[in-house]
Parts: sequence; C-alpha cells; structure tokens
Amino acid sequence: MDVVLTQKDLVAPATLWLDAHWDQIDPLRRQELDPKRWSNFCLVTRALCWCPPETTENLAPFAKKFRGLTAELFYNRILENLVLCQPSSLLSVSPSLLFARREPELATTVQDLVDRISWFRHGLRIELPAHQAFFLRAVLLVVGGGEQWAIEAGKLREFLLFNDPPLWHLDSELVESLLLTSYGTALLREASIESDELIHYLAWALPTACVAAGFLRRADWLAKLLLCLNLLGLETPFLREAAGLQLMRWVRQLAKEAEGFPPVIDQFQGSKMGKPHQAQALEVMAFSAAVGTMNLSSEQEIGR
Amino acid sequence: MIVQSKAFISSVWERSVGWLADFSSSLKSQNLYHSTLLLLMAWIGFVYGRSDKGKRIAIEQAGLLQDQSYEEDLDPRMLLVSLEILSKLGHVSPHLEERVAGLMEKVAGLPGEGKSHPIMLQVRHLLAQMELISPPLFEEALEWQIPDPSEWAMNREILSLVTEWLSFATEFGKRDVQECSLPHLLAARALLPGLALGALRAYDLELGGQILRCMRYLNIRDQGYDQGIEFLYLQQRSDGAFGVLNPMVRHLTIRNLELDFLLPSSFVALWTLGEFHSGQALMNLPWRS
Repeated sequence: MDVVLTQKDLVAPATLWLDAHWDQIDPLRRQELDPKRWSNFCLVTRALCWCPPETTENLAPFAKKFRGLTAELFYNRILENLVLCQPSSLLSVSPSLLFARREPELATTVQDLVDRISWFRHGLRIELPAHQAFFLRAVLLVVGGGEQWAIEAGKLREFLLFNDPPLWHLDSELVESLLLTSYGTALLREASIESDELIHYLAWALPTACVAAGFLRRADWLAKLLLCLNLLGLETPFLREAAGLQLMRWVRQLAKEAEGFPPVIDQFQGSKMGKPHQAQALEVMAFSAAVGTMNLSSEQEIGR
Repeated sequence: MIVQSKAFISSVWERSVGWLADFSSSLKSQNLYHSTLLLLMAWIGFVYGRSDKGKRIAIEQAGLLQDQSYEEDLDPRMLLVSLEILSKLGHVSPHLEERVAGLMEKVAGLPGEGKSHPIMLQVRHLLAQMELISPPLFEEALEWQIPDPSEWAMNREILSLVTEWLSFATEFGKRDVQECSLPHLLAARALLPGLALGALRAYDLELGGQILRCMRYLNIRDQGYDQGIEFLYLQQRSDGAFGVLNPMVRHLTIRNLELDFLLPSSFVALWTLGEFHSGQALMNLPWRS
C-alpha cells in the first residue's frame, strides 16, 4: 500500500534524535573544550546555518537551546578555541559563526570574532586545503562584509569555476567540496554576482552525486547533497521522490536505533559501530533536519 | 564530449588484446564460462578494435569450444552470441547447438509474463536475429512490471534488470524512445547518470558498464556518461587488463585475480568502450550483415 509522506516526516525523527543526544553534542553548557564535542556541535550548527532564518523556528528544540546560550559564553568558548587553535579548529568554529550571525544579541561578538579570525588567518599564513580555505573565506565574506566583499567574491567565483573534479572521485571530501561550492554559489547569487556557470555545473553535479550517494548507501552524503539542491532550488521531482524517500527511510531507521547507526552508513568501513559512525549519524540527522525544515512550510510530498 | 586521439584508442585495444593473448595461452584448463568470456572478449577486440590478434585468439577459443562439452550453466545470451561467433568463424559445436535447442523449447513453453522478463526478451531478440524465432514485440515488453524508480538505487538486482529491460526496449539503441513513449524515460534520464557513477565508484564495473551502455541506447550522453567512459579508460592497467582493485574491498573475496576479476572486468570495459566508439551494439549482432 502506498503511503503519502511529507517533509515533516523527515524533520520529526531527526530533531527528536538530536534532542535526545544533545548532551553528547553541546560543549558550551559543559564548558568543555573537548575537540570531539566541539566538532559535533559544529556539525549541527553548520547544518542549521544553511537554513533560511525564517525556517529555523521550526528547528526546536535545539535551535532554542542554542539561543539560550549567553553571548558571553559563546564568545569565550570560541575565543578559547581560537587561542588554542590549529587551522582545523579555526574551521570548526566557523559554522557556529554563520549560525550566530542571525542572532541580534550576538552581532557585536560575531564581528569581533571575525576580525580575530581574519587576523589569525593572515598573521599565521595558514595553509589549508583549497575547499577549506574557500569555506573560511566564505564565512568571512558572509559575516564580515565590508570593503573586502567584492575582492573576496571575485576570488570565490574563480576558485569555484576551477574546482570541478570528476565525480567518480566521489568521497567525503568531494561531497564537502560540493557543499561549500553550493553555499558559495548561493552567496554569490544573493549578492547578484554572476553565477550562471556555477549553477550550470551544480545543476548537473548535485543530482548526479545525490543519486550516486543513494546507490552507495551513504546517508550522510545524501543528506548534504539534498540540502544543496534545496538551497539552490535545483531539486527535481525524481530526486524528491527517489532520493528524498530514501533519506526519509534511513532517518526513520536510524531514529529507531538506540545507539544510532549502522548498516546504512559507510559500507567501506566495516560494520563495527565506532566513533566515526556516531559522527556520521549526527551529520545525517542534522542535515536531514535542515533539509526537511527548508521545505516544511510547503508540506511538499516527497514520496509515495 | 570525450575526444581521444586515434593513437590512444589504438594503444588501449592493442594492450588489452596483448594481455588477453598472454593470459589465454597461460591457462591450463577452462570452464565454459571462462571459455566463452575469452571468445567474446577476443571477438570484441577483433570487431570493435580491428585487432587481427583478437581474431586469432577467437579462432583458438572457438576450436576449444567446438571440441569440448561442459556441464555447467551459462547465461543464455552469452551462449547465443558465442554460437554466432563460432558460426562466423566456420566452427560447429554440437554441444552448444544442443543447448540452444533446449533454450528454444524453454522459450516456447514460457507463459506470457515469463516471455516479457528482461533477460528473456533479450534472449528472444538474439534468437530472432539468428532467424530461429519471430522477434519479440515492443508491446510485449510493456507487460513486464517495471519497478518504481524509487527502488532502483536500493537493490542491485532490480537496477540490473531495469537497465536490461530499458536496453531491450530501445532495441539496443535502434528504436526511437521518444516516439514509442517509453515508460519511465524521464526517471531514467534523471537517475541513470548518478547510478552509473555510484556503480563505478563502488568498482562494480559489470553494473557500471551495463548502465553506461543503456545510457547510450537511450541517448543520454551527458557529462556523467563522458565521465563514466573516462573512468573505464582509467581502469586499464599497465599490463593491458582492466580493473583497478579497491584495496578496501575487492581482494577480500577474489580467489583468482585474473580469472575472477580481471577477465570479466576487461570484457565489460572493452564491450562498453567498443560500443561507445563504434555506435554498434553487441546484442544487435553487428557482424551478421
């Protein structure tokens, strides 16, 4: 028998799961600097930062919990990370900034942190892999603004246009690159900077990679790529049906698992549940919640 | 669109047939599956790669097949194409002809739904070209219940059958799919490039090659198709065989690298590349005319 499902079916199990695991995610309340915890926290906030501001209301309960944090605590913890930090730590706090920029009471704090990150980046001449460097630039672009905007936007566009590796390299890094490219493209479009070539590339690459992720049973990749498609308005009815339904099935299955994760993720890493699986589980849930949230108001059917 | 130089393409064929020559001469014993695979690959080297060496290997293999009888089962499509090659090379195999007679009896006794199964449609397509039965009609193919597109990525067997069905429905590229209102054509256009990519990324060359050939029949010649073909080229090793092992997965289950992995992978890669360059489908028995 056919069952009609809506995007709400995606959001509910994902957000409930995230809420249940919040204690394992939130490093701020515990005042910890455990890198693993920070990394998980940033995964969630990064997924959230993709959603249009008006939709984050739907991301209760964890969005509210995030808002419950004081600006001071937020500032101090990120600052401590910056002071201690390695390039990877710098990247890990960036998503939090993207999310935090939407909170008026954090505006001054965020700007101050951005200035510090800029100084840090230039002062130490950090060498980051290309897509990570791009991401950092994107963050600065978004939250920083100012006169550097046009220069950074131009560099961003150039970088993106030369950064389209063959999709059969598909792996976590390439998915990450597509994610950042999509985000960068959305930013360019938002700023009315020409982005047709990028859109043309992504209109082919994202659906193709999305279907491949489903075939490879990588729910974490699928959730991220669907989010990219949503963000750029590139999803098609077939993807909504095939990939959306597939993700929804996985999210439901995962939500039922007490520990959270197994056969749907990473066929190449064996079946033992270890920390990588937990992190991937978190990614699936956070990004799935974001995917669902972006379309929640439309109550679109994504499968039968 | 991929543009490869003639010299490059020639060297791909030359090296692969060279590997096949070395490998087939080193084999001490062969079962029916391996014998037909060697014959088919050598024939592909001859027909698509215009390799005289390929023809010589095919003649050797045809001689072996003619003189021996085998117990094991064989994919009926491989059987029919092999028999056709034997005939073309002037060989007769009573053993294989007996099998074909049995196959024809089986086909005649199939109920309606059995006849519209993708594999049986292809078998009937081949038998009809050999002028042994009348050709299956397009309308008969529509009797097969095509799995919903949302299921295609979930199950390898389903995906394989769907692509076999689509391949037949296009008559391996001869039929205009727009004119005949092929069911699920839009879904195929949307999903097959990603599914081919997924299969290749998982080093499943058999399925990846099958999807790529199907994409060609459906005239889905997008960037994904080009990248898939490019991927196949990159699978050629320095010795000429195709198939680069994924160190994480493959060799855990492979007992005999050449027989169980390189031979089938090379066959699939050459088959797919051969059709890409020539525009001729192997299942349409291009050498008959």
